[in-house]
Amino acid sequence: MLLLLYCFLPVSALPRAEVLTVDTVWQGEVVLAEDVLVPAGVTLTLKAGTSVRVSAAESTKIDPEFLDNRTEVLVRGTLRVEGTAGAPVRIGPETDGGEWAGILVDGGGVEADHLDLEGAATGFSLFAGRAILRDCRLAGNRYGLFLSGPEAEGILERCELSGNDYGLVRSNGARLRATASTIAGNQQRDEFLLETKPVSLPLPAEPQREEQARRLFGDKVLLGENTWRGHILVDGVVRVPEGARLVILPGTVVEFSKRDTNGDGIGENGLLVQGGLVAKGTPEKPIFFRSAEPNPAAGDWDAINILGSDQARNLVEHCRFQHGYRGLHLHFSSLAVHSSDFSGNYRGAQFQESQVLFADSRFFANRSGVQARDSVLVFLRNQVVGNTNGLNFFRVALDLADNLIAGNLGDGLRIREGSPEVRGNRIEANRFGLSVSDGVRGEYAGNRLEGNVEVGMLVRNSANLEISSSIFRANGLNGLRLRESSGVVRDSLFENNGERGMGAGGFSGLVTNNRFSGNGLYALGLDGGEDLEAPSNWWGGEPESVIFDRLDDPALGAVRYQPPLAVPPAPPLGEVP
Amino acid sequence: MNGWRPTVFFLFFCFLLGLPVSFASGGDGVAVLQGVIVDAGQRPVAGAEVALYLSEDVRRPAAYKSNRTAGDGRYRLAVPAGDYWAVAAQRRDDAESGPLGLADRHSGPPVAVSLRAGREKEKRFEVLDLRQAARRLAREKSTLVPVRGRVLDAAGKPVVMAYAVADTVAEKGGLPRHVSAWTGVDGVYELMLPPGGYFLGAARQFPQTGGYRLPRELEVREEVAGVDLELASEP
Repeated sequence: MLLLLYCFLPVSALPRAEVLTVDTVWQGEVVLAEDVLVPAGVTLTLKAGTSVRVSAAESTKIDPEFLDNRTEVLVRGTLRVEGTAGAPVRIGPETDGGEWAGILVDGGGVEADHLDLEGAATGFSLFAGRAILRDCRLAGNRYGLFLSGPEAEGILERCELSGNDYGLVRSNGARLRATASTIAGNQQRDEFLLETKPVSLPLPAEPQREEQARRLFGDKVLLGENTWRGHILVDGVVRVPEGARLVILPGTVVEFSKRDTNGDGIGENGLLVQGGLVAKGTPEKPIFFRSAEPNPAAGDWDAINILGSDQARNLVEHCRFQHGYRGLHLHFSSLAVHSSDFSGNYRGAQFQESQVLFADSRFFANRSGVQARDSVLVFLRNQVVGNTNGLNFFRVALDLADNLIAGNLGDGLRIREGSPEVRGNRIEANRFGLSVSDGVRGEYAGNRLEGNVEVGMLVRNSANLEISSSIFRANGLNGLRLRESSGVVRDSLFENNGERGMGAGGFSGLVTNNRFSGNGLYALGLDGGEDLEAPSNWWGGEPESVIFDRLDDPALGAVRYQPPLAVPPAPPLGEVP
Repeated sequence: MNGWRPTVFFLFFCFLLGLPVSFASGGDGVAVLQGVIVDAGQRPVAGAEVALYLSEDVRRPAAYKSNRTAGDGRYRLAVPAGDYWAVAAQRRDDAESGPLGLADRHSGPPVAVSLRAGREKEKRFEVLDLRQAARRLAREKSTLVPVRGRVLDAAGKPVVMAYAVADTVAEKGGLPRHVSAWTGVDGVYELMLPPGGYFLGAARQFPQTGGYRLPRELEVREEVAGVDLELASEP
């Protein structure tokens, strides 16, 4: 069926957010129904008195340049807000109680006067860039202002951060200068500073960018069996149709020139494989897929697109994907990836309706490591380190074991729906370690969730969970937070978390044979009216003093902790990496 | 590239005028192919056309093309009687041939049509975009089945940095169709194969100079383990 089709997946046919390609001015009433990206070199100006109402929806958007699943304004260029005392600019959700992502700054700049910003997951999130806020009010957000990393700088003059769950969060060397500003009256905490241990991977050596002889391919269809070796320059889209195969030999360097015909800043050159791909490097002679530009940047080229190719398993081994839009992008295909690196891409890999194996591979310094939906995925012994977001899986049959997921600025690992088995992973020093939502079943065993900026593991609206033999240690706020879920939590260690070892609201099930010690406020704290069955745990102190429940607030449920363990159970050190 | 155009225009002109025509390439007289082009929802497609080829090789300019359809999706060709291969496509731009655009739709592999002189043949085409085609393809394709084992040397010891291969023939001049990842110190390999009959082998050089011998014959119906392969001496 695909024999004659000369194109790749039409992303444009999917719901797609707006990328501003020219300087833009908003004024009056503005309804924001989709994401907006302000790319580098472009300025978005909000005139005095402008009111922006944002549609609050959690989507499954797939555009790698965006950072949050909710509606967002992403600034890589300049955002200028020209409110005045008499005519402030207001940005908030279209409907009461809705939540939108907020304004995310990733390499751009913000200068805002008299801005009222509310109802966002995070009012402003700065990953890289400077935000100068004067006479601004951030209120009614979950987080008012979040500054992450040494490239983030916030300057507040006469600002008010109040009525948020958390007013200000600063982590990992982010800079803040606040004058005549008020950070008070926030419900959970006004301000906190969190530092995580630095996580880095040694960068691999790569071949010199020499002006050596290169085979040039423009828009071309490769028929039959094709072998690439040496140095290849792709200046177009090279298609491998059904029935054909591309074999790439060890040591091959494939470079893509940047062609951006629609001015969105994303390169369009790449490969489209509808037949077969065997890219088999070796440890000594890896294969490179990278930008041909003299100063490479994320999105210089599109992707290795593999589409409708599951008659044989495609193979990618000892390959390096650098500065693509999506290094690998699959639909309805089968692929095994071994010992490969993905770095500096908007997204390392993305796939839908596919069967994929990733083993012994590394994802670092991407905006997002891997995103997948409606697929079968085996993910073993990989390292996902130092990305903006790590892994994001939606309705994926997931077997994820023995990985390192660390130092990602947002989510380390995010799982929605699906039926995951998550074993033996180290999930460390991310903002959110592991987020699970809307699942009907899940096994989480032998994982180490340590030093994550806010929460080690967050579970929402999920049933039949089994969380066992894991370590929740030194996470900024909660080791484990359970909301509106059911299951069993057993045989685990909750130690030295900033506020609570475990927080639970609307959780039904059993908490047993766990060991709690040294948590900042409580071993276990309820934030809902339901009772919780928690017999046979070691509480690390008098249960009444380390459990926060109905005895402390009559609106809360009771923790039924009798009988407590008289001696602490052995921590699951032998079962956790 | 556009060598077909005079022929088509001539035919079309003759057809419109009711002129008698004769052709060297087909049988005697004119035959008609007509019908409707629909989308995945079976709705008529406007702006589509049917192309006829003289062989299954459709990677070349078409011999004849129909009118572009209007809103009713109807097309019509009057061509010399004979045997043809037909495809339908809808292009969103004005290109006559070459790579399809992102939103273009196509009917897939060519279908054989036999047109007889003086007869009208009715043929319906369904055109899909790439995403729709891929979904359909995925449904039609079979699931891959894992085959696992170890690559061993003549002494029965695991071989590191080797790989397994499989194909439907016992000797292969080039790289076999199915290739595993490199083995580790345990020599373990995994192949994912569509159900069927295969010959399996192993190699260390990639690709192996002189081709591959695949001595192990295996019928694959469901997951199978323990299929150890002895590393052949490299030719």
